[in-house]
Amino acid sequence: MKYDAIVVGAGLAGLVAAAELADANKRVLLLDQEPESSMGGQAWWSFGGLFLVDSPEQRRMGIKDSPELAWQDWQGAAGFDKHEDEDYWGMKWARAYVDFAAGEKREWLAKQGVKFFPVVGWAERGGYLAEEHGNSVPRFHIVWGTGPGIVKPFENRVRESMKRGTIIYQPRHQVTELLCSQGMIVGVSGNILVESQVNRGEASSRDIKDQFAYYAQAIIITSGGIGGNIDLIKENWPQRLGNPPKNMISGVPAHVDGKMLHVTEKAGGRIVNRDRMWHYTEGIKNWNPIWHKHGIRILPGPSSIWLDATGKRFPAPNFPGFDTLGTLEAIQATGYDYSWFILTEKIIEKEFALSGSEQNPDLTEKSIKKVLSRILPGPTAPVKAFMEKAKISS
Amino acid sequence: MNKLTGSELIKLEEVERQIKARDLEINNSFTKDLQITALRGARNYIGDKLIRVAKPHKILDPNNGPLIAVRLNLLSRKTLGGLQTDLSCRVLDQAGNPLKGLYAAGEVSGFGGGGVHGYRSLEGTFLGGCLFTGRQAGRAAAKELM
Repeated sequence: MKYDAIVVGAGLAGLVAAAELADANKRVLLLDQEPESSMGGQAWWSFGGLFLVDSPEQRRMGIKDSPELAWQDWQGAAGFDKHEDEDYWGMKWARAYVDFAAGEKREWLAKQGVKFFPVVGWAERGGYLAEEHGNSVPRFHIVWGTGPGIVKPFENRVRESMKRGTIIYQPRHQVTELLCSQGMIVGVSGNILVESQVNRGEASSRDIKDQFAYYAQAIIITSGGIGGNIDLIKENWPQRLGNPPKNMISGVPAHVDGKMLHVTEKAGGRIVNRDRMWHYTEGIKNWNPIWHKHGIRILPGPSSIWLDATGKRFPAPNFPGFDTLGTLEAIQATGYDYSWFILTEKIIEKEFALSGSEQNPDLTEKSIKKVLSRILPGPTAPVKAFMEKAKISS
Repeated sequence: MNKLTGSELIKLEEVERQIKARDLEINNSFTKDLQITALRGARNYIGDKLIRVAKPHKILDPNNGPLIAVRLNLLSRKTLGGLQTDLSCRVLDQAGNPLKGLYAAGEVSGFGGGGVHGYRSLEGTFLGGCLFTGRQAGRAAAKELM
């Protein structure tokens, strides 16, 4: 057998899995339907926020955190209610994840050169009681270099192994079937797509030039979610959040199409918690779009006045940055799928940040000089560009 | 605002009334308005005070700059459910048994187990979920291949 393992998807999880396998002297085939320009997937576009518990950065900022407090918060946010069935493994993973975030996560990343912005952010503040949703303390650690900064060390490891020949990376390989034999998954087959010169995140051609089939003892699916597939989102939309929205903009590239979920289900894999999803309420259309319906999230500080489409202030605790899905539910209950912030110049200067690596050139380019200019009066350059070019009106 | 949406949904006097009411709550260092109380609480954290939370002020005071309105849309992002996996990232079938030879990691597995977040996230948990499950999948598969 030519390969020991096949990894389907060259996003962050796939790069990590491939790098770990190669380190264990396994021969890995890494497949992705997108061209090489999109290596790193959604993670590359991210703001680079990492949940860490009781970190040196937190302690330096005077924050007292603990695994107990983090686990209390996690359970309050999660609201697990299918303990013996669909939540059985999710809960076990959650406990392990909190321990990882309070334990070896930071050290493991530090050894690979990952550093953090010294001011820890406070996301999802909650606004309820101790055992309900929200972070009791700031835990959002921004990677120095944002999304590209967290992708880089793993991409480097993969590229090193590619040079040694232990990882073969094949972009433009779209898996459409998992191959079964005698109750085992033994391989993958699918389409080789035509070459594509598109830039990162842009839609690439789906034209097929050939077929492939590869076999290995272990197949690892790391193909991402359904965030770029608005139809699938609407199909799986949970009743508890009201009717599916008529209008939604897309926070991830179109290639986040969820196709491998269906492919894996057909091969016998079980999908659970289909109706659980995480969408933001503070999206603005990108004036300079890279993908279809490209939206950017405002990472809002808590001061803006939040009004529904008819001009009514949302009730507590629907404040900016407190409870994403709680506010989404409140918005959907109005019958309109949009809302308004009203704020002052003083608020926009201090509180408006835009999510995503490309909207934070100072942190992404690791420029200390540019980062320090955030303290100066005036909004950041990307916020200013949106004020001038997009539908932000004063 | 109405021009932007092509509707007459926003009534100026209604919006003005609510913001005036809110601004009346600024005069004391204590208040019943929970949003203002939250702002003051947040500024006890040095990070928020430095770069994240503006000093509470009257929205309608012209000294605080012109008013700005931002129309906010719903923005898709993450899938919290997905393929159910055990702690070795093995994909499970309908009966809860591992499908031999098949693993999953990252968002396709709901970042672990088919739903590590439950119904909501604390944020900063998605990249970390890719790192943690990707690492575990790679290591578990490598061990199985020995």
